[in-house]
Amino acid sequence: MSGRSPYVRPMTNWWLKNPFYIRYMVREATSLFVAVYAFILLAGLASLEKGEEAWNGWLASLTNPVAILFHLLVLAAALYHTVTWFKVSPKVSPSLFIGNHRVPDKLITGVQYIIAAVAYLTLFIIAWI
Amino acid sequence: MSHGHLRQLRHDAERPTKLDEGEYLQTPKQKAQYDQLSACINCMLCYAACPQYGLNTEFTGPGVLALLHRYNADFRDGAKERRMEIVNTETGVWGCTLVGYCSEVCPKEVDPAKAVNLNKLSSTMDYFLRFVSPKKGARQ
Repeated sequence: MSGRSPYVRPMTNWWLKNPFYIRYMVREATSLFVAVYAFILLAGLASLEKGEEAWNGWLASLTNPVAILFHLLVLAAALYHTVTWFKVSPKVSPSLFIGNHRVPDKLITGVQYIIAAVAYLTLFIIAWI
Repeated sequence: MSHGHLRQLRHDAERPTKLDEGEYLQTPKQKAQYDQLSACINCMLCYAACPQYGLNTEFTGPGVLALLHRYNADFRDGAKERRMEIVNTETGVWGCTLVGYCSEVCPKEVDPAKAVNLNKLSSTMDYFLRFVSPKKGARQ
């Protein structure tokens, strides 16, 4: 054993000490909202299977002001989740090359926004018709 | 912990071919695979930025994992399998939760977070390939 006593930084409430860490913790927390929303959709699917009455009951429960407020909250969380995920996605995908040059991270993120926009637009058009 | 790993990696590079087979010719694309990673100056800012390392100093950490990937991504080296032993352990890449602050503070734009997360993919492949490649399973 050497006589060194290296500095060990204190980690109490570490994520409150830096806005970057706070954004990270919020990003991780938004996944809970996405999970809860998935359960709401599952409940809808289960009520659809049970019959018309159950389905209408589920639809009526969504018109509750609390449900609407919750949905707005989930929407905000999901949007934040999407934005932050698109931002880190170049870090989790293998490097892409065009010729001998690496595709810049911003282009990868940008293309995802375009794909998302096209997908949502298509969904809206289908729902509209 | 991480200093030990750093020292270990220093002597880790392994030439897959014999010396008398001549020098390696490397295309710009092959060089670009690891170029960014080789810019590391061992300043350890990524360690100061990493909350996972702060919470558990047993975690190999961003700097060493980026250096490790620098060699893994270079085709002139043949010691990837040995390095994957560091990657695959609990204190390897799986200690990372993609906070991403290491890449933010890096003065040389090495992007250690990318190197670590690419190795999560390699580690997963390693795990599943054991079942189809008996050679890997038998290795001591």
